[in-house]
Amino acid sequence: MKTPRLFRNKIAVAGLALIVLYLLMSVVSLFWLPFDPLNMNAEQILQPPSFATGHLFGTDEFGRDILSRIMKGTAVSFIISVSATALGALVGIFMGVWAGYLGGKADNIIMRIADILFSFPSLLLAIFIMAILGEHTYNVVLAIGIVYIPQFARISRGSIIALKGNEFIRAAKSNGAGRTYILIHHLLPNITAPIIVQISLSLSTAILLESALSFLGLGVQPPNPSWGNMLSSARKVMMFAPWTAVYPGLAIVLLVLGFNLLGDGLRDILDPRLRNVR
Amino acid sequence: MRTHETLLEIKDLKVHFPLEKGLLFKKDAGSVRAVDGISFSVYKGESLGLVGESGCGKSTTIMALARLERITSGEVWFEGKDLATLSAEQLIRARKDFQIIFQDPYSSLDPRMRVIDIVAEPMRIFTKKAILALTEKEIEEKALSLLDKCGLPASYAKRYPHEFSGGQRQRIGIARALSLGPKLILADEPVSALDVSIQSQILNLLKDLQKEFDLTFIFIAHDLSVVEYFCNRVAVMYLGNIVEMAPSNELYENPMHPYTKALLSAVPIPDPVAARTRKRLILKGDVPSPIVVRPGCPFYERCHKAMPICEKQKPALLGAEAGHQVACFLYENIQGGEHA
Amino acid sequence: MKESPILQVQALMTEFKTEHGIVNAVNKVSFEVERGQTLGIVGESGSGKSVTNLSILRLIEYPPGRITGGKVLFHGKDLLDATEQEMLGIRGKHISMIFQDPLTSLNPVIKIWKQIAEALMLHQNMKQKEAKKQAIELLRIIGIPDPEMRAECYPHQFSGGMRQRVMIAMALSCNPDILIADEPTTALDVTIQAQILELIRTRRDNQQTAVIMITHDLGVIAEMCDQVCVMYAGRIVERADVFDLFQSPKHPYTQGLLDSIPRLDRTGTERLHSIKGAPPDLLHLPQGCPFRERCDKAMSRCAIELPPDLTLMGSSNSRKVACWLYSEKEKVDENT
Repeated sequence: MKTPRLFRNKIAVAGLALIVLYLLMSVVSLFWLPFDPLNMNAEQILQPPSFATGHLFGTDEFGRDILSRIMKGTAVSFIISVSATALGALVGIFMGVWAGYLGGKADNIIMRIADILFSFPSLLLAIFIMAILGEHTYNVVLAIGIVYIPQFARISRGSIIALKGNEFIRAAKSNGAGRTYILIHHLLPNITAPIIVQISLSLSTAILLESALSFLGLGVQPPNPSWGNMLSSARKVMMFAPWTAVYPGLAIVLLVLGFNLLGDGLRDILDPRLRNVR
Repeated sequence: MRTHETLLEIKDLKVHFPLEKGLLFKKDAGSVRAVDGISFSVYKGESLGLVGESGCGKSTTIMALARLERITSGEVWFEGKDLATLSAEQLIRARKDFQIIFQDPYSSLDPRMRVIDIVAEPMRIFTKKAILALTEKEIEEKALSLLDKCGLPASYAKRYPHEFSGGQRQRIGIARALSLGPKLILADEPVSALDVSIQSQILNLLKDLQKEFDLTFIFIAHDLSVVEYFCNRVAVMYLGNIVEMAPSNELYENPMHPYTKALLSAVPIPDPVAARTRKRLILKGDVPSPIVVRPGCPFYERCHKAMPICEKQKPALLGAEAGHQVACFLYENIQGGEHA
Repeated sequence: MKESPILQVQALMTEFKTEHGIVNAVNKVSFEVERGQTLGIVGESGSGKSVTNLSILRLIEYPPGRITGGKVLFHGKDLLDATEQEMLGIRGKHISMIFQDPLTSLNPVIKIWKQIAEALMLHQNMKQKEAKKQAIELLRIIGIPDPEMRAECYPHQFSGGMRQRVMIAMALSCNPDILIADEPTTALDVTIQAQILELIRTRRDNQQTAVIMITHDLGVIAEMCDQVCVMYAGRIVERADVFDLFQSPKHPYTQGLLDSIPRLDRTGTERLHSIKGAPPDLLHLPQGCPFRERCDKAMSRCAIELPPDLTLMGSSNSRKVACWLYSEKEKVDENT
């Protein structure tokens, strides 16, 4: 069997490799961590990275091992970004698909709601929602999810409108299919390609949003580690203990890069295929 | 073959698409008169061709017939019922008896479905609605049998559309159209998108299937030679009206309407000697807008034989039913016969 | 004394790299065009007819396409050796091309007169005012009513037929030696097609422009062309004078095509002849003759060796067929 196209695209493979690395890290973190991430140790504060001490990434201002905290944060970041993206996708796709299919007034109303959400800069909207809901970790999921609704709505709507013109939709109608049947059996299966790309890219920005919220103190609350709040507390000490900021920062950058590469690679693979529906 | 039993009768069918102007408060700005009052009958077992150029309304006519476009007014009598006024429930039942073959083999098949499922789908839908009572096994067998009749062996059944060529995809579309065992097939330019060497294969296939399943066709094409070959009767449309209708050889040998004559004269003939010696009738200008309301003959602006009356009155389609009919004042005196 | 041909294409080869392999879209194609003559190239999808003509004008993009061999002699000079600068001076001025879809070939945000004038200003160094006047005059010549007003329109305000006329006006504005028309009327209604073909004919007769007409429509070939090349799977399989071709086609593919098309001049046919099978997959061409699998008259030799271009005995030098049927019977004069 030929190598699946996914694996032949180097960009996608690179992205996938990064993501898998992080996944492994988060799975491992459930069972084992080099040190207790919450353990404060006054004697070990702000230790630079060294093999000798066992603190490979150094310690923070409370003496906690940075590597362990990064690993613990991975699982949280993954869970939050995946849940938020799933929420945004489900609601957004539902809205977008009906808007595209029904057209007319329904389309107008649905998309204006999406537009209102879309007109807020993502971070501000997330902050606003958190302010209403309160600073609980999992409210972050709701906040980011809501921010994503318009993007998924737009993409779904656009894909549906493009599909509607295809003759196989008319064929289904002439074969006695009703509206819901056509939506489920003919439209939804054919919009998966752009949705998959969007999901991948949303996962990457979700990481950023979550980090930003935690940085601002609105997300994961200390002492629980999140790359964002680690960066926040590193602000005071990073001039003389740069590792406290560098490693959490790198953690964010590399995972976001991973999702972006995967998304770009997927777009290259899937889009020309989609155009070949012609 | 012709039994003169009427399968379908259309009476004064009109399909107008309203245009709206204005951003916030939509104003009525006239409408595109795609089909502007046509009437004709289709007899059991025949192949009726609808020809005309872009914008003449031929595609809209069959889409309206099939209730895939909204009918503005008129009657469509099929099997004793007026399709134009059927409820949604009754309409679905009626669909079993008329099916469509679409033009574009690349967009008429769902790329995510296997070929056998594409052909089986209509049967599955109708079984679920309890209009047909077939077991899953029967459905699959029938689908395979239809694919086979259309020249696609069983080994192809589990594949996806993108693995097939244009001609093969069209065969899949044809098999799908036969899935419910219809009486009437509406073929919307079924070979226009295919290579020349494949066109004849598909046309031959359609002819064979017509014999085997006792099908009646309404066949749309812009290629007059194809229509002449396939159809026994032809209707020529212009700007939403039927301007001439006749048995196919009669139309080609003795065209009456000035538009038909121009159309026939414009068709290139693959014979260099004839091509260089024939008399050409080249029309001036483009097909005019279907939005403007014309009291007179739709062809008036481009007709080289136009008379003063043509601008003011619209000629009716006159002539013997199932014989040669024409809508033109040049012939009003000659025919003077029954109204269509 | 017979003038030498203004265009000589010799063993032209163009290939495309795809993710599945290399496609030889044009495979040792040779033909000639003389002044004032109309050459028809007929073929179906995958025959290579369009790529051949894009290659002549060096309009093949790399990646994925590349011209890999042969010569294209224009007035004796090989265009494949010319610099891009020299080609710019040839395209639009000496050799012009019109395409199938006039909507996408015209710039939607530039007024009509400007697009026509562009060629004039570029090649004939005209000032804008003068070029605009000429453009309007051209519109009048090609039959656009109210040319002064119409010149100020944008392409989307014109119908398909009118846009195609504009394309022809642009192509003919600098009086090129050769006009290449790639399926110019395929997307148009038949009455508009008649108008366009008439226009091309008139301009051709008045200016003695040579025309290369690419099409799949044998009727158009019969009407417009003097010489015809039939292409299949990237090769020319038959070349003849138009009257000879239609009266006695030699290659089984040509014969099959002519027999399988419905014709208005032969009414009442019961059943159409059809060529079995489908146009070939250029990625997986069989050994020997590419038409073999669909040919009723295939012989064992056809599966082994590719037939060369053979000149038929007793006819002019321009009558060629690439088919083994004609090697034993006729005098062999290999011309590859």
